[in-house]
Amino acid sequence: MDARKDLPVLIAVILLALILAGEFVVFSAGHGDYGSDVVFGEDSISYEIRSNGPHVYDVVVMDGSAGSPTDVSVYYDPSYASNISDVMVAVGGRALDQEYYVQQMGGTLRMRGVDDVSTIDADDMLALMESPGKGHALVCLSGSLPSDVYDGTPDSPVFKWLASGGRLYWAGNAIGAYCSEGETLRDIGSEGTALFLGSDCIEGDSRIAYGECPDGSCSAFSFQNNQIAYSPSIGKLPSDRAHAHFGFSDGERSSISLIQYGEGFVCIIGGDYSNFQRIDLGQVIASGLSPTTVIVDHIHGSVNGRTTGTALAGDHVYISLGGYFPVYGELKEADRCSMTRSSCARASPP
Amino acid sequence: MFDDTKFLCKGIAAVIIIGLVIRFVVGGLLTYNYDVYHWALTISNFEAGNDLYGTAGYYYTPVWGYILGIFSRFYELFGIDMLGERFTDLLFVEDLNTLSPHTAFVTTIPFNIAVTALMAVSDLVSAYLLFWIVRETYDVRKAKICFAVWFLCPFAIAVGSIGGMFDSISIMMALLCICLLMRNQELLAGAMFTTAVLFKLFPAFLFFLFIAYIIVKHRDDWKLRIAKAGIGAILFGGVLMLPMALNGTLMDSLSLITARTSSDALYLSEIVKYGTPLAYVLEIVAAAILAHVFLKTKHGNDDRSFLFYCFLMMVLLFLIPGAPQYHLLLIPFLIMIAICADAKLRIPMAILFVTASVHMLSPLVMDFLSLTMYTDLMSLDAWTSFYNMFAFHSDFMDMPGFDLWSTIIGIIDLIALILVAVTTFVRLLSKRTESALDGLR
Repeated sequence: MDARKDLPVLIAVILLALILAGEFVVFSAGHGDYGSDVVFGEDSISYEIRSNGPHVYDVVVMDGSAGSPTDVSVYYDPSYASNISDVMVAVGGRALDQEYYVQQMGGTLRMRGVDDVSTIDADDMLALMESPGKGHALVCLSGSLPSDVYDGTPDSPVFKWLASGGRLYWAGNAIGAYCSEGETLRDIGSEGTALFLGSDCIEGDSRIAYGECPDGSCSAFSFQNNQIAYSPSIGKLPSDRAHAHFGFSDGERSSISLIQYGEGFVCIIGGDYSNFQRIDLGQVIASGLSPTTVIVDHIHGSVNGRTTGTALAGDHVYISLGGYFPVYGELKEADRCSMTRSSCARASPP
Repeated sequence: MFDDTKFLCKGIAAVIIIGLVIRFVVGGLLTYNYDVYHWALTISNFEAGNDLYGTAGYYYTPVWGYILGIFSRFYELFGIDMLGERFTDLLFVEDLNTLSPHTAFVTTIPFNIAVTALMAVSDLVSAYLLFWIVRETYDVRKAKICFAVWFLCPFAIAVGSIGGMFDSISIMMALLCICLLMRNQELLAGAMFTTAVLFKLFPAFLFFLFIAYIIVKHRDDWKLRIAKAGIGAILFGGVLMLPMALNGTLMDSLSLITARTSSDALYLSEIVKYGTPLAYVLEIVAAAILAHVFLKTKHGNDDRSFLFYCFLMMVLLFLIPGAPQYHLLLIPFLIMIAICADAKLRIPMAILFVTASVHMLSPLVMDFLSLTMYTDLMSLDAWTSFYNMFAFHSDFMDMPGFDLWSTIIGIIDLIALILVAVTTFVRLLSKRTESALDGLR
């Protein structure tokens, strides 16, 4: 081998080997590279975070969180009409339609520690409504519910399910304004919205927020979506229902709204489809945000390997890694930890 | 300065040092965040266990994603923990729908420098490969001049260090294909060619010329050699695409190609949507004709003629208007021919360097965002005033100021490209190209 003449051959071999190594990295990285533990105390919590590689982390301590859902059902049934708007995508990007959005929800939630995610059709949704809603989450991105579940009347099964503790996460259009009778869309109007939220509080205009809600949730959860179309006007929500608002705000509406319905709640993520919206939706579901959630403490730091720390006490702690480029999330619950203390208390209090 | 027969002489050392210093200073201070943000998003997607296409953010064929995979392991060695932030103060920039999209995400300076380092290494390797090819076909002195011109080329610096675009890696792969063919390493050349094409489509237009080169160079056993290249291409291509075939994202991995001809890519105008695929079909025909002519012509020096035909193909290819960084693949071939074969091309080449660099920097104000948000060198108020200079709405074709500016620069850049093409073809037709290209006479 003539080193002078064959150096490009060596460079080619090294480059191809590096590309194969990169392929291995891409398909081997994942949730197992990270971990966290929390010990809940009377006045404080102590945490340990592990990361295979350097990442920023956020520890958010909350009171009044709903906790992790036991399972998440994502509705998608192309045989029923939907009512959503096309959105722009980058050149070369796959169109962000309902099917693609739904496909991504599994990965979006699993990286945040929510493993039981399934896609359901209209029949499955009706079956879901027939059991108590407590702990179950339903994601609806179709802008319209099938008429077997919701037909514009207060007797619709969805309301019984919500009242029994179900969590309905909604994005893509005004909630309750439409139902699908097969491939036909029926306009129910603002009366339908009032059935879900207690008042006619959604305006159809497309608006964008340029400010943050004052609770610090934007930085705590690295929220990204600043669209507020289809979000309820806070001032028009009935006072007898608990409601909480996170993310971005124009002072009247916010990008994330949670409104109580019986023992359950409705969550509206504002705006038309976007990747920012999907990421926020994942954060909201995984962190168990509810209409009564209050952020007690937020610690931001950096970890490469292992780090420990303490924060103010609360009943839930959401730990995430990566900040605006999230790679891991997990909700720790005081109740659950007290029940299985040994598994939650692996970390030594610092 | 470059008279020493060894590769590493004082002149080359000075070029390397100057080139690296410029890249790191410029790349550290200026970055077009939109693309670099997507590299960061891609890395976070696969680090979260969603590989390249499980969640949105990566719009290319997989090879660049694999390079980001190994790149992430390198920069993490330096403890880079934060790749970027979304700034509420900058949300307003997303309201404007422009040809070069704007985002309120701003990547951090350490991450920008890491991307610059990756591109600088690639530029350096490409410079060496250019040196190697010219040394093998012409002489060491010309080879060193080509090395210097490429490594100090402002356009190459702008694409890799400021744009954060990976076209320079595509060039490295295309040049490696040529080197491997010249060294009779067809199996490896096939693997590299597949990689290059899956990395960025443009080297595919050299396919027919590569085949013709093997035939011309190996009249006796060309079939066997082409078969070896084919085996290398298929095997390595299979290894690269296998994960997507297994997890059902194969079509997603090709969306860059399919989406450009579908109605889903809403940023594209109708002319671009339908005109571009038609133009590329014509380019494929041109590539086949060029290869046929190369095959049927008797050459005084096969290697020199082959390089010239590659240059002709690139000139034809990049007459199709596109993103400024696309033209970078033309540059190494232009340098080779302008330095070694036809000095009359040097002035058009210099003009193209300037216009292409300015075109690359046309979203100018957006390039200052990392500097503004992470240092005290520029205040947000000053940046916003700068931004507003371009954010006006022009009556001309209903364009925002940003697009008006980049369109004007784009037209000037296209004129420079046409100047290169006209000079090339006039010289060719008048048979004044250097005698080394005797095969064309």
